[in-house]
Amino acid sequence: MGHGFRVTDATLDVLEVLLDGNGELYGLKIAKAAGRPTGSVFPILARLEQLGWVTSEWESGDPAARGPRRRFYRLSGVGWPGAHELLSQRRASSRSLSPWPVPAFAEPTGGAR
Amino acid sequence: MSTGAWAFIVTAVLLPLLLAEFGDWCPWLAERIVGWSARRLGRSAVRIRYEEEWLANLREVPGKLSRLAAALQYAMSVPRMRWSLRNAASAFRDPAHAELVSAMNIELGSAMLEHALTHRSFASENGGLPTNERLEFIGDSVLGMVVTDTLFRKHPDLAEEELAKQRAAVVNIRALADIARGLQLGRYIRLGSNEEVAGGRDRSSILADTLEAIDGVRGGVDGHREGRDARTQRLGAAG
Repeated sequence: MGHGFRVTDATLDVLEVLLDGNGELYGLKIAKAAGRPTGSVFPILARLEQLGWVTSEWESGDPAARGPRRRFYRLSGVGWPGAHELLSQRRASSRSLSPWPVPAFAEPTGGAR
Repeated sequence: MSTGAWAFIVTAVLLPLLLAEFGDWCPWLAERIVGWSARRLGRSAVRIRYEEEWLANLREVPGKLSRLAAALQYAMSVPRMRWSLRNAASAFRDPAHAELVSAMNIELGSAMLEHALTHRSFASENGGLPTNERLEFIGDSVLGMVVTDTLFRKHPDLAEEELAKQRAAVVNIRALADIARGLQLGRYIRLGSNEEVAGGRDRSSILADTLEAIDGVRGGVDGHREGRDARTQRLGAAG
């Protein structure tokens, strides 16, 4: 209700992976981490992206040097709290929630600290 | 030739040859299947994106037979993909949305974009639609965080007061409204008729709030440099 998508177990698994992962998550990696087939994960990602919960961008680097590029997925500003809320409702017992992620601040800033 | 000799030729020579041939053929077939599946997804931008994305994923699957199996999964997911993408197709039938999305260089679903563009005046005139105020709330934090982070890295020697001052110079209604005007965001805002008459489409507070709402959707709290850089460039904070 209110999410705009059917919250299946597979959806929760995908959201869980996105919440826990830090960067560079692409379809196959998400599918493996969620223990779901790619054929089920891609439609879920497409739907979440449609709803603005997830954004994606092409892997950077020289496209001529390699073959097809991977596409990285991450939760958006709305998706983050949304996924958090959903998982704490549905899987409250099975997971301890991680805090709001601020890895940008945690990266070494060379001499700043 | 005796049956024994035939059996020998079949099992020891032909069968291995056929299997080897089939094995070599599998990856080729797998890629064909993935290409064919992506082509069934509808409009060309989607097709091109998923063909490349899926091929990149497929090539990481080890083993020839399992690659073929993976490709068949993509083929079988096509109906669900089409269902998931149905809204996307309708979003880009609206040329105004397509323009805005390309101007801002964002990936955004239609439902979410509409939500972010919905001013409360429009929402109340149309039977209490969800307004963009909650998105603006989170966008405000996202922007603050992105700019704070950039300033923090760029000026390791600046004191807190100076950092705060610089941030305020970047994240304020006037500066945000200027960016919004540069993007012609006013054209896309869903505004109520009263606000429309009162010139709300060019009011700084409404423009700034809507820009923040869109940033709330885009997110970026997770330190993906590319996204952050695009935004700080827009804000001029990197300079």
